[in-house]
Amino acid sequence: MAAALFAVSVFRLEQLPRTSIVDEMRVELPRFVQVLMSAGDRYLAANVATFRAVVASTAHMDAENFRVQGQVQRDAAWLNPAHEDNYYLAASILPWNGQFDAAQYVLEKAAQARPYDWQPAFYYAFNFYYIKKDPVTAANALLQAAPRVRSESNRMAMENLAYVWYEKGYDPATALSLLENSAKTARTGALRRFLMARVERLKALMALQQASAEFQRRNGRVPRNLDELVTGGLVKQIPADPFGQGFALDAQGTPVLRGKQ
Amino acid sequence: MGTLLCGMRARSLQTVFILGVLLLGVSMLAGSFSARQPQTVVLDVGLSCLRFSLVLLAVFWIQELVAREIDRRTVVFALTYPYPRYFYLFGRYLGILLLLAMATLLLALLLWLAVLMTARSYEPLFRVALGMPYWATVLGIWLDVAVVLAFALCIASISTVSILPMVLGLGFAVAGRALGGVLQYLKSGAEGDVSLTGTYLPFLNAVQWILPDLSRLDWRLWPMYGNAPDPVSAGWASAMALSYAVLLLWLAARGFARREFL
Repeated sequence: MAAALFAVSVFRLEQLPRTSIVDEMRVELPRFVQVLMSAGDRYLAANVATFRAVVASTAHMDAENFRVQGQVQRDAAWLNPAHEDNYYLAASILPWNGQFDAAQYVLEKAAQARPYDWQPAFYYAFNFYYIKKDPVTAANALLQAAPRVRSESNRMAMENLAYVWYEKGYDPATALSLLENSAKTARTGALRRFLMARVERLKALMALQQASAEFQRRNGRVPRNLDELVTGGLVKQIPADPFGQGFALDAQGTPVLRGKQ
Repeated sequence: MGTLLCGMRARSLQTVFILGVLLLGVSMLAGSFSARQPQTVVLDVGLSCLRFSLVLLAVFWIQELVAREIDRRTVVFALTYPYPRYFYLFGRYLGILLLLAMATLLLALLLWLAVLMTARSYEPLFRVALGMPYWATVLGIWLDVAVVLAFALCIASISTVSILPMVLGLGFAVAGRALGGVLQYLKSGAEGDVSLTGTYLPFLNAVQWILPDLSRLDWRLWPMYGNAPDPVSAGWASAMALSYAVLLLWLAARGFARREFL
């Protein structure tokens, strides 16, 4: 009779929905608790924290989740500042989701702990350039990164870039090429696809912004909606957003990502 | 005395082998999640697992070769020899230390191979240094566990509860490791949590005089990132560990000398 009950309950359970998994990133523990839970081993604690950040699915995360991820990655950076995956993930995900300070903390610690590695210093500078639109601070930081580059020609290229930033100020095309290079060096897999998709989105956005500027020049006013750019012959069609968010016009008539107006 | 322990090796070899396979499995799994540095992650997690496996082996061997003998009173036969009691104790310690050294070598070699194999699948920008830095780190871990072993032996020599050496040994291993990190966290202000620093900092400042900071023996930043430890602090850390182990053994000898077995 127990067997019959078991069979029936399995059958019924199959039909009933499961309670959904807890939010991707809700739990944050104090650092010393993380250390104790890793049997005292801070490097293991750093790996665990980074692992949590790596496997979190960013598509389902809200602002609070990203704040927690920022905290988790900060902890990992404190426990093992030289952790490469941590700083790379922090640079890739955090500044784009409202966690600029957390990203810069991680990158700064990584730059200090890895004096032979120009990348954390570079991403640190880049974030000031692209996210804060502050080319002067960015250029200063970039000049700090340049001496770490081993190849002479690359070092000069980086210093040159810093001077370009000083002179020209913020320029989207430069930003895009930098992002593209960074995406191409990621190991194949979900992260790389994510980064390449983001590059595609930025390209689409830039194309729209250029079209909008051209529209303004020709017609003397800003476009009222994105379809005007299509009918005006400036773009063949509204480009698709790889992340599904879509594009829209902000109050000043500049194309932006939908949801950021 | 030490040779008695070699006879025990056969059964323990299986345990070591199983632990080794688990260690590798976990490390390589962890490495596969790394976007940029699978080799470094395999090494990092592997070293953590190595230390953990060795601690488990140390308390396991103390349990098997010391605590159980005391429990069953078979130790009395060994004590009938015309040698002072502490000969037995030190003999056991050195024997297990030797077993640990062999286990360390075996597991470290397996990890070394695993890291090398990982290098084939993805060209990382930063390579790990697997020569001298790696083996120095392994030596550091072995010293770390030697202290844990001495502690477990000390407990076994005076305790009447047979499970105590294992439990307290594991606790000591965790506490000794955690002390460094937690102390650093509190000293740097615990991110402004004043109540935490107020409560625990004075306590931990006192504790570091009786509990050795075993995290100072962890030199893994050397093979992983090329950050060689400062030789002076490495030297003092080793001296601290060895002297603490000697103190524990002396305590163990004293406790053992007065013990009644029958």
